[in-house]
Amino acid sequence: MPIHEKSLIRPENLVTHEQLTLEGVDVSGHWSTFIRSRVITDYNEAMEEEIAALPGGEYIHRCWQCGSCTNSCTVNAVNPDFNPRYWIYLIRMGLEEELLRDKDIVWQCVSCNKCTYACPRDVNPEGVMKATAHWLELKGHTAKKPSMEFDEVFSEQVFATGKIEEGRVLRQFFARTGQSLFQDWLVALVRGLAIRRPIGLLARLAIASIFRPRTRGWSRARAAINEYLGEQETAQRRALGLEQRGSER
Amino acid sequence: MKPILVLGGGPAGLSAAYALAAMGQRTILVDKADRLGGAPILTGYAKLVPSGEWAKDAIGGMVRRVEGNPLIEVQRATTVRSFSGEPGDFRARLSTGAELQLGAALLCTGFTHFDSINKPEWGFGTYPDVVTTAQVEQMISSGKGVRCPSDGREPERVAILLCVGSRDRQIGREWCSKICCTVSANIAMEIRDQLPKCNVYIYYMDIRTFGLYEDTYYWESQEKHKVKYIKARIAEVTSDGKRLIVKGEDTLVKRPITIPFDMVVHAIGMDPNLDNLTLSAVFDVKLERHGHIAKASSYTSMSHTSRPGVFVAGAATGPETIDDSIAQGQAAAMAALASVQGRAREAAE
Amino acid sequence: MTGKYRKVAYYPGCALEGTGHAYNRSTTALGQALGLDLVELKNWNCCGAMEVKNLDPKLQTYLSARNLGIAEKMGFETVMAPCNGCYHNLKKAEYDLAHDPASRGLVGQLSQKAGHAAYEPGGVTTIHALDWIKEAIGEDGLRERVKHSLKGVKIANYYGCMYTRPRHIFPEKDKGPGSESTSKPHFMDDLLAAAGAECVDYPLKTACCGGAHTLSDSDTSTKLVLNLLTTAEACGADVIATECPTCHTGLEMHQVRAARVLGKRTRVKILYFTQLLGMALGLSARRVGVQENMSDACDLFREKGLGR
Ligand SMILES: Cc1cc2nc3c(=O)[nH]c(=O)nc-3n(C[C@H](O)[C@H](O)[C@H](O)COP(=O)(O)OP(=O)(O)OC[C@H]3O[C@@H](n4cnc5c(N)ncnc54)[C@H](O)[C@@H]3O)c2cc1C
Ligand code: SF4
Ligand code: SF4
Ligand code: SF4
Ligand code: SF4
Repeated sequence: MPIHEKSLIRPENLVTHEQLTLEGVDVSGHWSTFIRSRVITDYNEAMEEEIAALPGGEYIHRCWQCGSCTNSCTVNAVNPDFNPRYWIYLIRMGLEEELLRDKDIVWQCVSCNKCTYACPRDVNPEGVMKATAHWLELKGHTAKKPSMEFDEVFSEQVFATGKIEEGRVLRQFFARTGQSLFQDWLVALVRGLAIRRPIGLLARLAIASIFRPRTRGWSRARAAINEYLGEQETAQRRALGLEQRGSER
Repeated sequence: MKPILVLGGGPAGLSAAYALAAMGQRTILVDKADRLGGAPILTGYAKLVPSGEWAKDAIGGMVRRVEGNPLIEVQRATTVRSFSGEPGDFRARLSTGAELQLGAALLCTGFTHFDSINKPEWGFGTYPDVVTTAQVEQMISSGKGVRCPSDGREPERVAILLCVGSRDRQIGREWCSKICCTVSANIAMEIRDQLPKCNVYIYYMDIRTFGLYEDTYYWESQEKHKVKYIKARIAEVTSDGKRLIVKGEDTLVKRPITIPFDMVVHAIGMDPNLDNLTLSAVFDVKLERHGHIAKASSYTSMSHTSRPGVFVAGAATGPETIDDSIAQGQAAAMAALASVQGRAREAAE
Repeated sequence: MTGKYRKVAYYPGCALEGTGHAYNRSTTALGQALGLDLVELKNWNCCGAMEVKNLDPKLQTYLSARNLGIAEKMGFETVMAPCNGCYHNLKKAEYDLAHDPASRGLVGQLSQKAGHAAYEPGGVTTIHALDWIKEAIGEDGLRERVKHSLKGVKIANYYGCMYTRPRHIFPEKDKGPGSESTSKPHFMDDLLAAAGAECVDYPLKTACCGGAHTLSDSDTSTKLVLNLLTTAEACGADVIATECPTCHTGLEMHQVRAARVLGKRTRVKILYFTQLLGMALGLSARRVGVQENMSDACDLFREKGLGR
């Protein structure tokens, strides 16, 4: 029997019998295509609250599944598997196993806020994407993604000095993600630039790497921010039922 | 006995004024428009839900029985400037300069149509073939039929987007406008009748054809008129230069759908009357949190406002249907009459 | 010309000290040419760009609140931020401080520990460089001052994500005639048209360039940027005008990357709107920092007689 929307069914759940006779009728081959019924036993009822406890996830419980977010989403247009509405549903229902199938693409949200602009319930789907990516990492389902490495390199500099210097962010990011600074296209880019303005560019790059830009009198702000971050981390790990850092036996 | 003021001559006000007169009460009906009838007449609705009667006949009949009534004095193109006093002894000054002595007042001031300009991503104001349900009602009631405003052609595919200006925190409209699902199904069936070659798609999040509207509108539109319902709220209406492009996620099959349309209709919601802040100040009545005139209680005194002697009915209290507005108009008339007669009796004793 | 924005506080932000230096240069040059004063915020800090919020949105609010507080302390009612990221973050902080008690609480707490007064919402108004020129000079004012009309230059105006989304942090937008639109912004179109340019109908004005993942997910960014570039060319544009250093650098970088990695070459030039306006007012190409752009527009300038 033909199955409509076959694409929605996972191949492992489609069963076809090469040889099968049912009540005297030969239904071998595609006549016997069945969809294996799937009993869900993996509800994780804590998942919604855990994600709601992470920054950005606070309003996930508002979602009514209208699809505006997915429909407007920049990344969904490039990769249809990137589906914020669907993931929010899985999280709210606690269908952890289903969510984990997409664990390696959640981080790709580019923060364009098209979803947040469209969402009639003010779920802040963009924030939910960040919280979910965070959750996947904290729970150990995924390794730290490049975007998180970048956020951390960048934020650490801001917290440390009050300002950033792009060259330094770039170098540290490439170092942490184990990439070469001398990527073909980057080299082409810098070379193209340097040909046209050798002195200005080189001088500025050199100055910035010697004198790090910084905000004066930032040390008290830095201490306050770091203290707050520590408290937040403790609270988040508690909400996710994770062991506190440094508390290993 | 002093007359009672009915402010607003839509379905609620027309019903209240008539009920008061029927009980022998002198009534002054004031409306800021130059015609009576409220939204159905001023906007020019077509066939009404649920009777199927043309608005100009149904509501026109209500207007006629009020306009001919000796106990009802009608003031058109008029507003109330000030209002003071106590129940049984109010004074009001009108924009015409007239001073009135009143026993009670009824606010039947209705609603304001949502202005789709506030939802720019859905193309209204950018593309001429994006229209509202109010405009389609006019196309039908004027006898011209449903045509694309850009070039007057008959549309071959029409999309109706539900909940435009309702149920949307982005624009601070956190209510359901109650009637637009049913009105949309009604319009969809009308289009399918008039233009059998034209397909109609309704984009919905939920369908709220409540009560007896369920089979007459929702089922009928699907079963008899083959109107298509898609569970998707779209993010944007665009154009390919020729037709309008509506892209959505069909949430039931979890995949994108992009359909070209000749016409896109916004099922616009019912906003609180834009005058409500003024009305609240002039009559010293409270508004509820969405901006409608607040009822004192839902049960024991449902026609009462926060101010004794001032009553409210119809869409002034929140999205309402015509029949409920009419019923509320009568209920408010009853409450107002009880209030002035109670005073009159006390005074006579 | 109205007096309102004649002198405003200026928040350049980190990007304008780095890759967006040409934007800084052209913005200040434009201000000078128009007789507008920009007073840089004293000892400002980074707004957190698109990154800090991913660790904690409330910290981002604190970073911006500190900057707003500086503007207020310097006696300004208005702070102008040419970078969409900075502009967005200042606006968002303003909104969150007014609406979210928790953000306000944290800003109060951190400000106290950091030893400065906590910024209270409503103290200063944040504007974008587009608002600044539009309000202070306006289209008529520009028309009067144009020396080298941009006539014949076909421009696709690209506003990106952060200038209009999410709408609730921009309460002044979508307010009918004269106000900016969040779905089809037009301020840059208006200004460049007043300088004589021909603005094409560009459907991707507010599409995303993938700027947040420019380096961490380069392939996605390249795809998104390539789409912006080819669509602009299909619309007949010679130039994409930008009003944000992140968008600008993203377009430039991924134009190169699309050519190197995907073999997809595009010719459309990428220029800051301040560079285009500056040249229309008679400033030299050097003065508005064109030599610092990666996108080499010399042939276009020669052809159209600009920037001499
Ligand atoms: C597109 C559309 C189609 C609809 N179709 C149907 C339908 O088929 N069936 C149905 O049951 N319902 C329908 N409705 C709902 C219907 O319009 C309302 O239920 C009805 O109009 C409410 O009546 P009302 O008298 O309370 O208010 P209104 O009809 O709004 O009347 C209010 C009156 O008060 C006057 N007024 C307002 N402010 C002042 C002031 N400050 N001073 C003096 N006068 C003032 C106005 O001029 C107006 O005459 C529809 C609504 C829409 C938007
Ligand atoms: S912010 Fe992220 S989830 Fe939202 S539309 Fe953009 S890419 Fe998609
Ligand atoms: S737009 Fe908002 S309410 Fe709709 S599905 Fe997405 S998150 Fe849920
Ligand atoms: S009645 Fe239907 S269309 Fe109208 S607001 Fe309610 S759900 Fe939306
Ligand atoms: S019958 Fe009741 S539950 Fe069902 S749709 Fe109607 S109101 Fe909702």
